[in-house]
Amino acid sequence: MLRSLVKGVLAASVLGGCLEEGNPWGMVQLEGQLVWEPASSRLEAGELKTSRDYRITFEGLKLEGELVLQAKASTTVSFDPANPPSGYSSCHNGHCHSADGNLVDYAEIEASLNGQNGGVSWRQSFEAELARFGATTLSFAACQQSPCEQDERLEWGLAKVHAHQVELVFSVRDSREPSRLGSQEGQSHQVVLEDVDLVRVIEMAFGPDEAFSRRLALKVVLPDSLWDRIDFASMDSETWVEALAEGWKATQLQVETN
Amino acid sequence: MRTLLKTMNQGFKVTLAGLTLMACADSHDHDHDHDHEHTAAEDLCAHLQEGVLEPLIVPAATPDAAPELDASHVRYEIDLNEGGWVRLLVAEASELHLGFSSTPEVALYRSAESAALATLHQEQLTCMPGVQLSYEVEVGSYLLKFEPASQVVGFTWLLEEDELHHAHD
Repeated sequence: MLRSLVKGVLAASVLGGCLEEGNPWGMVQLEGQLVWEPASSRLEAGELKTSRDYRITFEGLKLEGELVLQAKASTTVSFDPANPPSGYSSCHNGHCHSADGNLVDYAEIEASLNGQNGGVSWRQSFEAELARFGATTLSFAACQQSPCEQDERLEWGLAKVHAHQVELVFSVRDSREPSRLGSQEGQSHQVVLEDVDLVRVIEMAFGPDEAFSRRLALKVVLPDSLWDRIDFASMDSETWVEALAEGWKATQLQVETN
Repeated sequence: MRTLLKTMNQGFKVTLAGLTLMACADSHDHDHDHDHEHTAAEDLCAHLQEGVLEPLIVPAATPDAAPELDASHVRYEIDLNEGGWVRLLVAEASELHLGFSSTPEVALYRSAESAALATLHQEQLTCMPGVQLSYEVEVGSYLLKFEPASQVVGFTWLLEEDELHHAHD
């Protein structure tokens, strides 16, 4: 309570243009959501349909990760669709083809290019758990109940969500007749994905001409297509875990700042 | 003689590359025109003419062995010599647009046991003597059955839902 009061007074004093030595350049409050709400056309009797005709019963997900804000690079890499960077080709109509077969938006390519040349970074760890399709809050270790101080005068240019660990529990059955899964029909799986990144460009500055109190809201939106790359019948478990990690890359990171 | 043919072949490739680059440059000019909405036929043509080229696909004699095509917006070459089955992996409930560089005898099935799906729309492509076929589809796999023909046909496909998504980005 006392701390909030102190911060409130501090905010008021800075907004009044009287930043004193030792005071932060601003405060940031973090909010976050983990969302997995498949389109109705993807669901049938509570199961998620894959493009390979498997049916997934989702039984739970745990995400442990960190938000990394990276300072805006002094020079930003511009992206020319007519001359795409290595790993991308055939850019048109707002997207390019990546070497791994995905369609990637121009903005995401720019974000990843600029993520390679950032400077100072700021990290906040979080965790979240989903027991069924829907949405849940990302629990940050800090900056959620009480805003965190920004002690440096700088501009954040990039937000990354680094997932240290994603634990998924689900069961799978085949909708084709006869089943391709044989004795594995309906089998439950527990899979752990490690060290996967999501990147987004942001604009958030702290300095004399900037707002003092800022809000940064993250939304991690999981893709309907997560299991589409997996052929459970023909792939060994190691291969389909790799395919699941590829599918995770279609997760969207949405960031709002104000 | 062989050297001459090789040289001619390289010359042809260079010319083709030049034409493709010109086509790309034209396409990219359009990319910056956000008021211009691409029709499915235009996008099918773009991918058939300058798309990422995938390895040659040979249809299978049985649906179970059908090669799976999961990438839309690319150009496949399909060898129709023996005819047979190819499987498309559809990730969105949407309108499915198929583009062919010629007019092969082909039908789309939800499964090998079901009846062929009716086309929603069919028209000749204006960029080449090919055809566009459109169908309503759900999430899941679909089978294309080709009748034998002594040709290799260029093939691409896309979903209306993807196009809308990208148009709104």
